[in-house]
Amino acid sequence: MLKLTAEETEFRDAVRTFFARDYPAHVIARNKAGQRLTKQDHIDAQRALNARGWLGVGWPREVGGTGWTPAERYIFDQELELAHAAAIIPMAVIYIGPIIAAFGSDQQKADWLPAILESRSFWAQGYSEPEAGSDLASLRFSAVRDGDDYILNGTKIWTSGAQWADWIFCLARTSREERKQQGISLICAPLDLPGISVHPIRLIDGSDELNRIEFDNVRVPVTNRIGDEGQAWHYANVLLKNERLSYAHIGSKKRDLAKLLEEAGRLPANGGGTMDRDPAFRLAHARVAARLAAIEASILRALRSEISMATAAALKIACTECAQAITELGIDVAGRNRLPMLDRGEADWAAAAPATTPFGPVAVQSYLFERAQTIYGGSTEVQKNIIWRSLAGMAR
Amino acid sequence: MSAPLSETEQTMLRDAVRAYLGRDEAPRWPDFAERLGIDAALLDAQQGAIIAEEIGRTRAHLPFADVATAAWLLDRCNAPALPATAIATLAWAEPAMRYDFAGIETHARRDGDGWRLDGTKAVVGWAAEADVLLVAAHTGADALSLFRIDPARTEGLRLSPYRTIDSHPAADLVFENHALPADALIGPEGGALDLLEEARDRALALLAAEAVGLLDNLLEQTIAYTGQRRQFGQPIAGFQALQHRMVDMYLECELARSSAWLAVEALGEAAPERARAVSSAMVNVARACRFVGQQAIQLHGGMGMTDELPVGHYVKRAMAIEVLWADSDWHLARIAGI
Repeated sequence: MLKLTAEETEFRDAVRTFFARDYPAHVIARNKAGQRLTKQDHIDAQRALNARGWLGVGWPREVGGTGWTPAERYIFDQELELAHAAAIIPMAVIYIGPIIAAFGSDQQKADWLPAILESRSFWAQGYSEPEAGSDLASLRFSAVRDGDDYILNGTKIWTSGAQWADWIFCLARTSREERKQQGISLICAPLDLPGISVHPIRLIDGSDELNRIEFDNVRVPVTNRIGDEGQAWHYANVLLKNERLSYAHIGSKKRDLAKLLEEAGRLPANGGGTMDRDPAFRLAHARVAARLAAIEASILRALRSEISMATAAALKIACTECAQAITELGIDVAGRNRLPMLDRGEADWAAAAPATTPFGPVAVQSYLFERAQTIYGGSTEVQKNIIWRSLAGMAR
Repeated sequence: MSAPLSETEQTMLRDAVRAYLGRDEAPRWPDFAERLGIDAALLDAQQGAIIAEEIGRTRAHLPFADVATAAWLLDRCNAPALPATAIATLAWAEPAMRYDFAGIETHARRDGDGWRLDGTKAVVGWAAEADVLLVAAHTGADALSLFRIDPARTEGLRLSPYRTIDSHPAADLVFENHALPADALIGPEGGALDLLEEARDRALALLAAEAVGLLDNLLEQTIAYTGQRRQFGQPIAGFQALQHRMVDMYLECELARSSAWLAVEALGEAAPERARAVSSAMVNVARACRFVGQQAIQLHGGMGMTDELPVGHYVKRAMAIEVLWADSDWHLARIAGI
């Protein structure tokens, strides 16, 4: 049950060949060098996937999607990550695309879906607000009906890639009368409308790809609403169900663990030799690898069966904590090489600290950035509440 | 070494440093050294620890531990002392070594009356700002020596300055046939290893003290933030799971404080006892830095990820403290004698 079927193995080999042969090599090279990717890099990467019909992951075939089984999708994700290919920017392709496909009007499907697949439009996600983080139901962003328009007011925060995006989809309160979760609608807006301002947020790893977006009396037509008024919570949950394993990233964890051993082979150890021979490092590495093996088996198990909210929450915790443990191993093996804070925007970024291995700054920035994994998408603490709600039932 | 400070004197020193660092303007080294008259504190670890703790609490960008370490080395080598307002820093780490000084590959060879220096030094704190560099180099097989270098003499010295994760200045240095006068050698030729080991332990004790102030502040920031941040209809500090996490942070802070005392008091002991105590202290300090830092970010949620709140900056200084002079594995191996 934890092994791939013959068909799945064949599919895996096809995906592997694709990334080796038909995928932009410069994107892989930049990723391997620890350089930040540009918007054009992502466009090149997505166009290569789309040319093969492999960009609309999680979309139904009728709208240009792959129509993959969960196992096929998992195999694809893993191969993409193992190949050091660019992660698909999730906002348009993974998050809103399937919602448009399932609940959007024919006009919306015709206007928005092809543009996403052809990388003509990028999207941003307007979910979190300054006062609504893990407690998403308490959001305040408002959409007030005015004839055939909505007037949008409020603040969205932690929107990644807003500086590249053309559109944003927002959870907006269209009614204050029902329970907190109700009265929320899903409304889309082009980001260049008057009244919208995008403010980059600089993070502790030196990146500034997250943003705060202010809406000041922004007018959009009612036809920009996806689905029915007040039903966004329902749509988000339907989709969440399909995205339950989206935190797995088993491929990138394997890739990063392998990379750590490779880098350790270049780092000097105390008393001579290199760090890949250091027993303390090897044991710590093995400990994380063993953990990852159990997590991979859990994901494969989950792929082959219906999984509960509690299982999904537990896997989110296990996967994100494992990812963090790998970055922790990275800064540990880097030692003093973790110290320089360098800007990874240019190809020759590492030249700024010539006596330091470039692995160090990459490792420390990953460590800092991945601290967010246990915060976003429902913090670990909130996931534990979800799990406890199901365990508490057992005690009754 | 000066006589131990009385409790009143300790309080006076702490208050004076706190008042100085509490001002609005960013502290600058010469002014800090001059206004507080820290000459004695540079050589006295008890006074130094009080100053370092306050530097940690405010996350001031001051080369106190670097200057104190260099001052102590100059003193022990009977070399002329520098004015306390001068910045001096020790360049020891290299790309082809980890933490053992035996791995130093930089070497100096005699050239007429003077010396010629070749080698590379990695992540030297305050090197570009320094008035004096102390450089550890081989002068023969298993023979480490210390050289006092004037960084203004740039022939044969390439210096690449940058900022480290904690926003402190640092630089990588490359010496190529760099000419040194005869009196650049300080201390006994080939006899610097024990001096370097003791200097490292002194620097570590100051770092431990700095970590105490730093971690206390992280805990205070976290308690304040969770008390004010509301989710699910209440301040999140009202959730017991988070209360217990902050209690765990407090526990690590307390053990770090005791560890700093342990390290400072051990500096007067014979080398083996000193090494064991300082390393035991630093294992606990590093653990506290890691745990308190991670939890401070987690409990601040998304805001903890931003550069605009102080929390991330404190965490990054804690991450530097973990490895500046040695890491946990090196300390554990030293305690275990392996």
